[in-house]
Amino acid sequence: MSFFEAQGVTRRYAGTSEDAIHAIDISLDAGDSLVLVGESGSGKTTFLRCIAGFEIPDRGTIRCQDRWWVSPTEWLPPEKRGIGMLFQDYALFPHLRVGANIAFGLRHLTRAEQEQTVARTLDQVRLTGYAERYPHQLSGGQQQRVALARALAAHPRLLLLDEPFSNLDEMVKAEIREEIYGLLRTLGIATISVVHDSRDALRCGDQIALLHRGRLLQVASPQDLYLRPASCYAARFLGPANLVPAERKAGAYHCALGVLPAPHDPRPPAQGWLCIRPEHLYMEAAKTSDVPSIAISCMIRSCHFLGPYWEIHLNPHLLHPQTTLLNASSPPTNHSRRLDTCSKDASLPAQGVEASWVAHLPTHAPPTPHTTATFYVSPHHLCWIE
Amino acid sequence: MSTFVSWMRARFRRQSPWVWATALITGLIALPLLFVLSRLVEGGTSGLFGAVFGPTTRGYLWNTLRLFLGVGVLCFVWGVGTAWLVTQYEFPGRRGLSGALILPLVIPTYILAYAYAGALDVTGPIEGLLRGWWGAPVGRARRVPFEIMSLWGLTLLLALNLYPYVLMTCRAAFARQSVGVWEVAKSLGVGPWRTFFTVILPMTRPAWVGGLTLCMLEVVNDYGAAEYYGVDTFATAIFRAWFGRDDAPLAIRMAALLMLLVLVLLGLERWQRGEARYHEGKSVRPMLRQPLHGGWAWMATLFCVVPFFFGFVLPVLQLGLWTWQTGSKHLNAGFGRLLMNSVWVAGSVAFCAVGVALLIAYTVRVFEGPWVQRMARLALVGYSIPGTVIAVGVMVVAAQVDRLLMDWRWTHQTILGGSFGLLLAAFVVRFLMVAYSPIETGFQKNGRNLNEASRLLGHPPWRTLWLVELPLMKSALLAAFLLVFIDALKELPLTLFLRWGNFQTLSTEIYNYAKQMEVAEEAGLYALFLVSVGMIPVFVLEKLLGHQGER
Repeated sequence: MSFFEAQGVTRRYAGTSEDAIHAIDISLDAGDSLVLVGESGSGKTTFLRCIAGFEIPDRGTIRCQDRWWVSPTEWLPPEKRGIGMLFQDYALFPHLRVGANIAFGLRHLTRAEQEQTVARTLDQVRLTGYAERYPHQLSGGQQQRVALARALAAHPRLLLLDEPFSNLDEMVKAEIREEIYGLLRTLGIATISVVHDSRDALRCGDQIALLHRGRLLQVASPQDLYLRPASCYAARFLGPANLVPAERKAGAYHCALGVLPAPHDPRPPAQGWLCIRPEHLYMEAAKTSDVPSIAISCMIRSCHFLGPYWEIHLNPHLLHPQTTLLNASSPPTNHSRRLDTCSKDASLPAQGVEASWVAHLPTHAPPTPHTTATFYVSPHHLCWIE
Repeated sequence: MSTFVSWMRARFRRQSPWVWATALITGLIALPLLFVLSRLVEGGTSGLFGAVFGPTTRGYLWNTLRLFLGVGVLCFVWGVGTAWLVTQYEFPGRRGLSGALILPLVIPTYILAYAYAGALDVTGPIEGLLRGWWGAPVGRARRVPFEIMSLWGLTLLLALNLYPYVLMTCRAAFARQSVGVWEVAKSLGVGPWRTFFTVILPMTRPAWVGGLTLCMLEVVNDYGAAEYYGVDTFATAIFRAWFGRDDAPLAIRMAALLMLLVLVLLGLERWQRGEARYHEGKSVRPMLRQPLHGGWAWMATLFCVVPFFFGFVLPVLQLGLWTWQTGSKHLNAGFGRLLMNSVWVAGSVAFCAVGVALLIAYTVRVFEGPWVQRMARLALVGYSIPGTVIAVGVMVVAAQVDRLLMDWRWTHQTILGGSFGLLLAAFVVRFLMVAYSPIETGFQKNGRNLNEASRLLGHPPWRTLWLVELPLMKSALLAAFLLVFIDALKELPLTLFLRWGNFQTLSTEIYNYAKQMEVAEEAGLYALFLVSVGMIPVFVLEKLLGHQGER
């Protein structure tokens, strides 16, 4: 039995025709950290509030250890759930000193024990000696650390983090994030975070749960979600993805790029998409690989220097421009089958005039724009999306 | 099916005592209002039709509609006009006038009525001044060319008293108006007058219609002024039926009709507001005030000075004159006793209203949901209902309860009727909204997260309220208390209706002097006192609530 389990959690707000969250299943082991990601309106905050007890789900159950939080017959109010929570705006009580803030959840302890706990947790978050300050005298990062100390002092079973770093400067953010998640990992506290930014999501948890319009699309480790997304939406959510409609049959992918060998994918024939991440396009073939790289001839459109890498915009040459779009649900197009680097906001590639891809090259000498170049991709890096 | 039952049971068990308490209070508040309203449907549709257009009511309805029209037009012109001038233009005295223009609102309507009647009387100061300039008129008894104590006088008076409602809603809307609209209109070659009438007015319609609705609600709420000026309205009819003819059913039917009228007003207001809330556009750049020059500037000043002078300065001068004449005579133990009574009533009302408002507002905040919201709206509706209607409803319900109690032989005398508790209840029904708005604002300023953080740390809602919310909204609580206190101090019809024996407050004593004894000048001190106290919120509220009022 897992430590924390939510099953079929559904919530619809009054006056809306669609569930804010629909049948969400999540389970967590002790000490696990889970990140809920999705664009705004995807229901991640609603789900977090269901867990905290501020929303009452219409259907579904939530259990933590051996205690039902939400079941058809039971509902535990938030104050009895033993949850700690970090808020975007820190939510420190402005009329109380730091020490009183931290001792706020320790009513059952004696005064001496409270003081001891305050001192200990302040040590843990490296704010020793700040107990007599008022919250407004602290910086944003310090305030969030006090908020963490306040949550930890009450020995929560589960810690919820609601976009806890989005109010901090970019510089402080990385530092505080490392510090807080490091501490939480050491203490072995199970956490559920809500994160808006997809890049932050990769750093904040062992598991990422991707929500889209109230539904759970995929739960996976950061690597799996990035490299093996289960849907085009998931692929695009975590970063740019070059997508090709394709047909899988007899150990090969048939698509506008030609017939690409897929010896490692013996699954039955199907129609779907191929996903290639920008950083998996190279300008020379891999020499050590057991399977030969696939060569794609491309027209270079433009190159942008972005610091760690060059971003190359390119148009791959289509071998079968007359092939129609594979996806049956898409509107018919009078144009060739589309290959596209897609923005996050559409669940299918936008209908553009020409295929436009992105490649990330760690090279010092980018290709010249408006010339033709050959890019290579290893068959291992082709990701099949049903 | 059994799962459904258990689910329902769980749903109900999740409802906290807060929700039950709110439901109970909402029920108690709604009871008298629904009781009054229920009398309307008693006679079926034909009965309703007969009641609305019957020979007696037709006169009241006609008078009320004429007041609506006259007061509406004047309030629109003064309210929208002054709001537009003080937000858009710079002219001599603009800063001072911007604040001063809302002052007429602090004078209770009935006091304004007494002051004007006194000022324009044959023996009044204005008549005296005019005679001094032009000598005594030949043939005609008076120099003052019109009779204030008429429907037209009442119209003028109510408009002078109430236009600040329109001014306040419009000032906020105009200040929020993005400068973009104005510039676009200008760039399309549309002149300022046409822009104002074709763009600005339609855009801010919800604001000025809302303000006008408030004016109309006050018009039907007024009792003291209409009665003094001899204009028959629903409020005076209810009083006459109840006290004069001792005809409770007639009074109830009048109250029901008046309430129907109010509900129609509220419905119209809601309907015109619709889904669109376009008046709440956030302005990125506030408009820069254009300076006016020469004659235009002085005309703007004059336009703003007129309502302020006649709505505030003149009546206050008259009250001051009376106080100077008779005040010393009344500055004695009697005044102290009246003051004590008034403060006792208003203080208790304010205390209870703040408590109930706190309960409901906190329930809405913590146990959000469509039903809780609906309950809160119902509980707050009393603010739109005229005091006379509330008084009748509360009296009738109390009488029913008393009769029941006596039938069951629990008691041998009336307990509720004519009790302090009943007066208190009626006041809370009427003024709950006054306490609710600042408290709701206070909660909103605290934000939701502090509450949730506290509850996740193991504190149930009531302790969270005590430890976190209340310490952070002391000023909002004080503002709520103060606002209700002052409104209750000035209130006339409710107190007149529900007071017992020889219990007098400042407002009823003013009424007694002016109406019963026809010596309004004797009440000068009391009236001036009420007006001065009424001015406190104008100066204090901005500080307490901390919102940047457009000044």
